[in-house]
Amino acid sequence: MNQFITAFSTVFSDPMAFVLIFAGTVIGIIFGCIPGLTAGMAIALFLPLTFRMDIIPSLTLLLALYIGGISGGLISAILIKIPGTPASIATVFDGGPMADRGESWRALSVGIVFSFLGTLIGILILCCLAPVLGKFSLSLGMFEYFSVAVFSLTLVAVLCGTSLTKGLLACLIGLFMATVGAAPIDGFTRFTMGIHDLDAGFKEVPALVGLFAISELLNCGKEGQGSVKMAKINRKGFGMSGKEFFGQWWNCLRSSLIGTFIGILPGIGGSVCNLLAYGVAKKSSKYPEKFGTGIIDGIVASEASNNACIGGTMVPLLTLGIPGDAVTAILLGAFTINGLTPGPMFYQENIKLIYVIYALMFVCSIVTFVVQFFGIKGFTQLLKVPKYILLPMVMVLCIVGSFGTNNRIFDVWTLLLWGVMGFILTKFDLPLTPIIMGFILGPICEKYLRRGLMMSRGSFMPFITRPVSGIFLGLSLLMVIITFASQMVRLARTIRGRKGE
Amino acid sequence: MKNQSFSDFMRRFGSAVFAAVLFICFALIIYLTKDIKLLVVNTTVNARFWPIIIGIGGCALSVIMLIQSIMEGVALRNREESGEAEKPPRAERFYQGAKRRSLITLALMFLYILGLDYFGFFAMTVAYLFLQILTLSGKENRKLWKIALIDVAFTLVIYLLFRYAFQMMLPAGKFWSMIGG
Repeated sequence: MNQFITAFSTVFSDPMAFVLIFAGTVIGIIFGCIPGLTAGMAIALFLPLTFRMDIIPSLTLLLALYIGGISGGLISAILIKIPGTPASIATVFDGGPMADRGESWRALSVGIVFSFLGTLIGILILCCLAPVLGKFSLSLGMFEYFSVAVFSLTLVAVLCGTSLTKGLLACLIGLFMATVGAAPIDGFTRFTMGIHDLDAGFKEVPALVGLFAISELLNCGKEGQGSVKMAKINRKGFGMSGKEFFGQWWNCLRSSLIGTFIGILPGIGGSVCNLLAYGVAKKSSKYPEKFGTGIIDGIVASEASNNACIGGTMVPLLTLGIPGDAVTAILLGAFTINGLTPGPMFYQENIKLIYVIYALMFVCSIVTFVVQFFGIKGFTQLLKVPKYILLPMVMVLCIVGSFGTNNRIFDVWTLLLWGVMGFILTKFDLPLTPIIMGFILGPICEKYLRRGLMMSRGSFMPFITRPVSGIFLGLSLLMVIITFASQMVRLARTIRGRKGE
Repeated sequence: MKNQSFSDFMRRFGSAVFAAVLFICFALIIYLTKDIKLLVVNTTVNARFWPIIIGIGGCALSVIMLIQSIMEGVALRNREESGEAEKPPRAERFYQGAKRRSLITLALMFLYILGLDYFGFFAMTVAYLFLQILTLSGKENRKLWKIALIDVAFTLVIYLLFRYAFQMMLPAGKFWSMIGG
């Protein structure tokens, strides 16, 4: 408890922290509510700005962007029926029909309130679970770390995208891109083609921004240029009654638990958990037929789960040093820049900072709630800005962000390279998240694999015989076999199905 | 007619072609590992070890993807030829326009980055933003004065914000320093 009080006093004693939280939240919500812009993009763009900051102000800004970005997705999901972020897809199902009936304020209010509650539940679980996992992670060695990284990559490959083969190939592309530059352990350069700017490898910011933002801009060509049709907001009071609010407590808690759990699993994130929580809410409802027609239960399930996911994704990042999704992968970069390495020792050595992170997350979620609730009309105006104006502006910000990484044009060229690569790969249905996870986890995998093999004199046996390592490798193999088998069955049905009919 | 059959082929077997390209790329990775210098030669767990694993894994997965894509492509062709599945109509004009816009966007990005080093952030951003917005906007939205106003105002705000408020470096441009002596 004392740690919490100290952490909150650290946050409240710095007026600059409030400026950063407010600015981060507003910018985050803007990025979240505009379709095509995401929380990850906001964090990647603003990461270079934090290079000159200390770790606490830097994390203040990035966490505010993260929480604001995820929460903002509901605005466009309800008002224009396009989810601002993939985490708000299920919000459209009931938010859209409610807006059509003229209940847009009610839908927005429910979404904002339960987003806030979901974030709080996620943070509470993070506070309870992280110390336990932190202690457990101390017992892990290089064999276990390699296996956990392989498990994370396999999980991402299996769950992202439509095909296991494509997911695994995307992971390998990411792993290869991470090998460019100096090798871990012996430091010899690889695949640099004589370009000395590549000696230290690709920088994370241009890679992430290029892959997500530039490929989106290149895709913009096929989108319509007309203005969007937006529902009007008829603001009346709080938007819902006390009975309605308390009637959703179990739905909110269950969805938040689903969101947090999904968040802990690497690579899945909000885009899956909101659909899962929506499905569970529908199945366990007394009136499942009303889902999709515009009831608040659907919005509660979607919004509580996607915001609770934020707390979940922070668990593996802080305790194991393994990012839960693309956004926390960028946050990992913020730690590294400040000379900190999240992982088992991080939790023991930086306990004060960990509590400050918890406190910051609490404050950011409260500010997000207040800003969204009272500033909703302002954010809706942004939805009227056409994409053909917005995306070129984002491109300029991408350039500024990438150049700011090292003050060299070379990083801007790598931004374009990653962007074109992302654009081409998405054309062939290769998912982008496994590429980023492969790129981030590649050096970890290689370092621990090589060290482990050197220690065991070239034997792979310790990776299999050590219990934790064996379990994670076994689970990875099992996932691959099951998914591959089910894909083969599906392929066989596609080929023979018509004949059977 | 030739164009039609090529586009049909790519629609059915485009993924297979892509898988073949990926196979070549991963095979190339394995080949290029020979150029990596080694500190200790008499061990397999050296700087070449990990890229070789990636290369072998990539080649194996590319072959699986190639087989899957060919099987799917053949099934699609059979269904279309037997009339069970409908052939999609030829690429519409809208799609062609979209393709053109994507290519112009890519070219503009390339020129923008190329010009940054020579003409600096401000001049290149004003030029890029104007042309990029013009490319992406439909004919009905092409109000030149409005685009120019947004363009200059945005560039100015970003320049002042990042250069003076955040104290960040922005490309100054060799050309201007040459003129200034």
